[in-house]
Amino acid sequence: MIVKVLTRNFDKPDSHTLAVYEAGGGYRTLRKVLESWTPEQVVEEVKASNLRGRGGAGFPTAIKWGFVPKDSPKPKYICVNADEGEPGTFKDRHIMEQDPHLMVEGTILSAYAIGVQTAYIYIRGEFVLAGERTEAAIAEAYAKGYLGENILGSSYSLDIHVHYGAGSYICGEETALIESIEGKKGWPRVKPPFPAVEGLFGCPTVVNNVETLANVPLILDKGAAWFAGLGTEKSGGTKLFTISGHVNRPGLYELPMGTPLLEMIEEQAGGVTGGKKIKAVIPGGASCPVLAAHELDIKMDFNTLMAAGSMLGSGGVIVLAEGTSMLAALLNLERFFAHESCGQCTPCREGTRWIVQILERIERGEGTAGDPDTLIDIAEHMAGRTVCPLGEAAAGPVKSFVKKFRDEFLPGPGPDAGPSGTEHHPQVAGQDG
Amino acid sequence: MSGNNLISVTVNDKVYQVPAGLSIIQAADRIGVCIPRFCYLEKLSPLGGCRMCLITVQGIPKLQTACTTPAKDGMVVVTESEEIDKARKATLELQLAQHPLDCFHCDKATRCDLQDLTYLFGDIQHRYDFPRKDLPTLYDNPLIERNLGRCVHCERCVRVCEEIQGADAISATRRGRPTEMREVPGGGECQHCGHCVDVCPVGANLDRLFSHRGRPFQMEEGLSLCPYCGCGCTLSLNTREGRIMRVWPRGDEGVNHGSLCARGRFGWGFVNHPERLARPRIKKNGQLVEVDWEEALLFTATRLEKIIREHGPQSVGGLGSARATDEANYLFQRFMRCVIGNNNIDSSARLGYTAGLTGRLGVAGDVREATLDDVRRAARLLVIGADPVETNPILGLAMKAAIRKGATVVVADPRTTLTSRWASQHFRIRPGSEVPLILALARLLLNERELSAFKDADLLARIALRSEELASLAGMLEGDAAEQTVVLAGRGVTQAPYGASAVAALLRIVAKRGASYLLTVDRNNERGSCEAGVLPDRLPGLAPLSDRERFEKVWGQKVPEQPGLSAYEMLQAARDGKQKAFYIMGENPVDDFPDTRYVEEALSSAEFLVVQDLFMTPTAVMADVILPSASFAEKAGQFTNLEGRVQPYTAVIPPVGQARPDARILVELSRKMGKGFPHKNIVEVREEMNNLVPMKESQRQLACNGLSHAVPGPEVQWGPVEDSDFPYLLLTTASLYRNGAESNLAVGLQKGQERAALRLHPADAQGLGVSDGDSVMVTSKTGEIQVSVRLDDEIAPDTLQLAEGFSDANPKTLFGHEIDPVTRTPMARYVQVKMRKL
Ligand SMILES: Cc1cc2nc3c(=O)[nH]c(=O)nc-3n(C[C@H](O)[C@H](O)[C@H](O)COP(=O)(O)O)c2cc1C
Ligand code: SF4
Ligand code: SF4
Ligand code: SF4
Ligand code: FES
Repeated sequence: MIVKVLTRNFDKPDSHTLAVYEAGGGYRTLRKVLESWTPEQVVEEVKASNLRGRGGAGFPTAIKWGFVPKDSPKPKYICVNADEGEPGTFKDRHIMEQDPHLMVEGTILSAYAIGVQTAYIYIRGEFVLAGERTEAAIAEAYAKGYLGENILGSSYSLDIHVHYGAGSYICGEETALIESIEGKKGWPRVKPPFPAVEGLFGCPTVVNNVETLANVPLILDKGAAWFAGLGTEKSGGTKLFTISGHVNRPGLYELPMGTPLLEMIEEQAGGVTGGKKIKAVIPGGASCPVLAAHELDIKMDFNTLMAAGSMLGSGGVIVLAEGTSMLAALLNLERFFAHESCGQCTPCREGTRWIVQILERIERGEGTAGDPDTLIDIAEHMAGRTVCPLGEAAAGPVKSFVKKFRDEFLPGPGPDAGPSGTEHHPQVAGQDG
Repeated sequence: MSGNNLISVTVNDKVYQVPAGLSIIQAADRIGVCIPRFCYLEKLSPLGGCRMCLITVQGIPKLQTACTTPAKDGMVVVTESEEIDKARKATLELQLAQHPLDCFHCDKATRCDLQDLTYLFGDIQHRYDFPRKDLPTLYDNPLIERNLGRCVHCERCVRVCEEIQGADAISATRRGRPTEMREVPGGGECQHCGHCVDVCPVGANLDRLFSHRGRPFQMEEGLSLCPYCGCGCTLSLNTREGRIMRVWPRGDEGVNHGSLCARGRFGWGFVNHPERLARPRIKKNGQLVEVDWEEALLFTATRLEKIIREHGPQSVGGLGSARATDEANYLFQRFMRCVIGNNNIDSSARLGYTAGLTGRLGVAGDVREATLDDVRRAARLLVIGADPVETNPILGLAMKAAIRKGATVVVADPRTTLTSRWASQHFRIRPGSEVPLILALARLLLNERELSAFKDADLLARIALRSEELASLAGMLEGDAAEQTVVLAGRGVTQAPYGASAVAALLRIVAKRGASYLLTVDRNNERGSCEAGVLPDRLPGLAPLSDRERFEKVWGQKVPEQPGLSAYEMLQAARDGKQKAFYIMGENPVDDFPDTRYVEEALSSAEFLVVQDLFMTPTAVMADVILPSASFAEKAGQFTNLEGRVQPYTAVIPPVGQARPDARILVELSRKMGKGFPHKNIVEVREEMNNLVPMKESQRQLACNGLSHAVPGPEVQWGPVEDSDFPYLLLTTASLYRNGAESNLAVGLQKGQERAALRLHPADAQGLGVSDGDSVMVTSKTGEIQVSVRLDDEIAPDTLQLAEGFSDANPKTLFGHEIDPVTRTPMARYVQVKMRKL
């Protein structure tokens, strides 16, 4: 069941402009909040809405805001994570291209709630149109007094700066993103200290995903109860799912939290191409453990997927039809992670490369009987033993693919041997990776 | 919390009390529990990347890194378990997977953390069965090779270069496995401190001078002190068969806390240099010929006695050494005073420390002198006429450490220096205006009648400062925070006219404001030589000559009453025909003193010249007797560093050839001259000296002589007078890579920087039609030198900067020989020159 909440403006002509946004009630909430709400009230409302982060980890947003020390004499910052690099995920791009003001208003409201005077939007460098539209929206907002000094005549002021990524997936990790904004190499930081205490320029910082913030104006407009009611008991609102892979209608779908996976694939995405059966689904973007065919009768929300040993992640549903080589699919994913590993941590730096080398040799038909266990072993040493979750993200697919489709990783041609799509990442093949 | 700042942690079932605020690995190190590591190093910010230090913290399901997890009160930590063992072995397996395993020919083998840990864990799996990628060894640094294949990506080198050295020369390039730790174009310039070599846990960063000169276990290690600047860094000399093979810091020992500069690390090459003087020489028929010690000493004694007989004891002058040990200098002054019979005693400290000392002697009462550690802790640093980063690099590092903790550094200097380049603020004052600046500060901060003769506007105009700027400088010494201000002053102050008055005024400000001060000291034992009595008007411990009796009693020999001549007064006396002989111990005035021609003429007009040195220096070439002396590594003694810290050390290797320690030469010569010293060894010399003047106490014995208190009148000319024939102003600087003759013979320093470079503004270069590397002839009223140019847009237009110390282009040639009437120090900070393209 499609619900148009976040995407309500998407189909309107010129949906990215201020005029259209305002015509649909845009910035009404901002005016209301600045006139009559205290920042604490905003936080309370968001807390009651059960909004959880849409960047991947699903952390309750208001609780994250609450970690920012109230009494810090330092300036505070909010960083909008618009780096969207997770393979299979393309929801934030749509928000920025089709309704950038929703993100901008959400950013202003959240910044107000936390007591922030300077916000940064960190946009993936490849997102040219999204960047243009975001910058245009910010300019329009300044011109209308929604940004800058004394917003709408209130005593609250906020500046938003746009910062572009340079092509590295790891810069989507919140502390790497902070380093990158500081002009440094995008390397995740050791935590603690967490950004809420010591983030950008050493000051308290909140990093939130674009979609997370885009929900905030809606919550404050229609109320926490309404928002919570759209979702499940533990996570409120709708969710933007991006469905890709072997489906007839790949694309972006706004659905309530907890929508069954199969319903999503069959009803929204038009079923599997060629009427084939589903072999497996990666439910939440490349980092999430794969679900085999018998595990697909599942509701798509944070807790249910966690319980099933996978994750909702960023909502990027990748459908693999029968006949797909799981070896080739995993190799494709692992080449990505090997290429994107920042290289600080021994398990991630060395492990991802070794995994790729083993998978490549299995693909060449030179695999050994021990390879599946070695793969799992390497992955187990990566999971949870690295500075940032990328190591874990790279390990998750290895463990789940090899455990669930072990035959395909043994010597000799597997049931679904096929090309791995090397052309996507030729630069990481073998020796160099 | 149990107790004040102590917490209790349980490690492997035992409860320990440790200071709060440590990480688990720090706590473990303190209680003696060993946790393996690659990337952690106490002095660096933690990285947490290598994942060797994994441990278990009760209540947390995943393994944690001990280096990044704070130890908390009540924490229960396990550092050894099956799970931990398995995880560490897995990490090692991954490290070894990519390693070239070429230990057979690795300089680091047997001193390698990767070898040690692999050995410790024993049964590590080696499942990696792909061909290893051959990574290159980089030789783009003349002194350090970077073997990329052996790198374990711990990034200690990157962090040490950035965090401690502040050079930012090494970057972790690219991303992931292809990351390479290397110097990249556009990165910081390597300062050849060698710290990246020390901290590398494996054989990835290596000392190129050491390459294949021996296995680590074949090295003997001897503790020594750096012979170059006044910091007095502790060195570990790695020797093999009596020759130095490489130099290291010794753990975190010494004032240098594990750091060294290029000179200390790579400047040892002179010690075993083939040109070292191995046998005494005397001049026979106009030729210097090698003789044995007996003949040389007899010859020297006979000739000195004859000159004393014929012309009186006043006709002999002596230069002790700002490089020699306290003991050698102590004996030298005793030799001059008791054996020769006069007080004509000086050294090259006259160019620096002596003038500062004169200023200090002008201030009664306590003035807090900063240590290097005080500088590390300082909140504000005010640097006047000094470039510690080049003259005293470890002091420079102390400043960097303070900056990292948030200290403000303000520099007042006419030059662009390494120090000014990373100061928070640089006031480019007019050349030669350090003294007026201090007087202006004194007018603001002290309430003294003598200063009323000056007008503020007049002073500010001389300095080229606006009054707000002066106020902001003075602000560094105001308020409660003044107690955490350290004032650093250098030769820009001490080599200026009325430098001593300026130092005295500065110290009065410092004392009044509760701040502290430190003078930069270019040569390792300037301070020790002065305190040992190598001064024409002061006895050991800086005792006044009126205190002679105390010394005579111990020495059993007479001390002349009449104050002696300082260095330039001796040179002038020689030119006037009054001084007939010089005894020069470990000094090279022809190169090091301003006005080369003047110095040469003075020395050649003497009848007899004794030079005691390591090399055939331009001064030694003129000698009638050359007595080969032992280098720092070949003798025992003590040096007194810029803080006044007295540091004894011992000989590490035997002297080359027949070279002898300075002190022994003096004892033997005294015996040949019939006034023999009784000492049988250096320890007896030290005991006698320390009994007479507990060296550490020497500062307390300061007797205010009031001389330098005299404030000059406003009519004094500070700074250059315009002269259209000589349109450029050349300012001298110091270089990391040179410090005296020895540094020119050290292959490591030659590799660090081969030749002198005249820095000038691109606009001036354009006017002259020269570009980087072109040669110019620089001419002053007194001399000329040829030097190649380096363009630097941070240099003020119309000024040139040239470092002292390079033998190929010696700026001292360009200077005159005027001395300050109070400090008797010659001026060699700035000189007007003209320049033409060659
Ligand atoms: C390797 C890696 C890449 C990530 N990339 C993104 C990203 O592109 N966009 C994003 O919003 N979060 C990304 N995250 C998650 C962020 O670290 C962070 O948790 C998130 O921005 C928090 O926002 P939220 O609380 O609104 O979900 C990434 C995390 C990792 C470990
Ligand atoms: S887990 Fe990988 S990407 Fe993350 S910090 Fe470590 S090496 Fe970098
Ligand atoms: S020698 Fe010193 S300055 Fe040069 S790269 Fe190594 S640490 Fe940096
Ligand atoms: S070169 Fe040495 S110190 Fe630098 S990262 Fe590699 S192993 Fe570590
Ligand atoms: S020593 Fe702790 S991770 Fe390297």
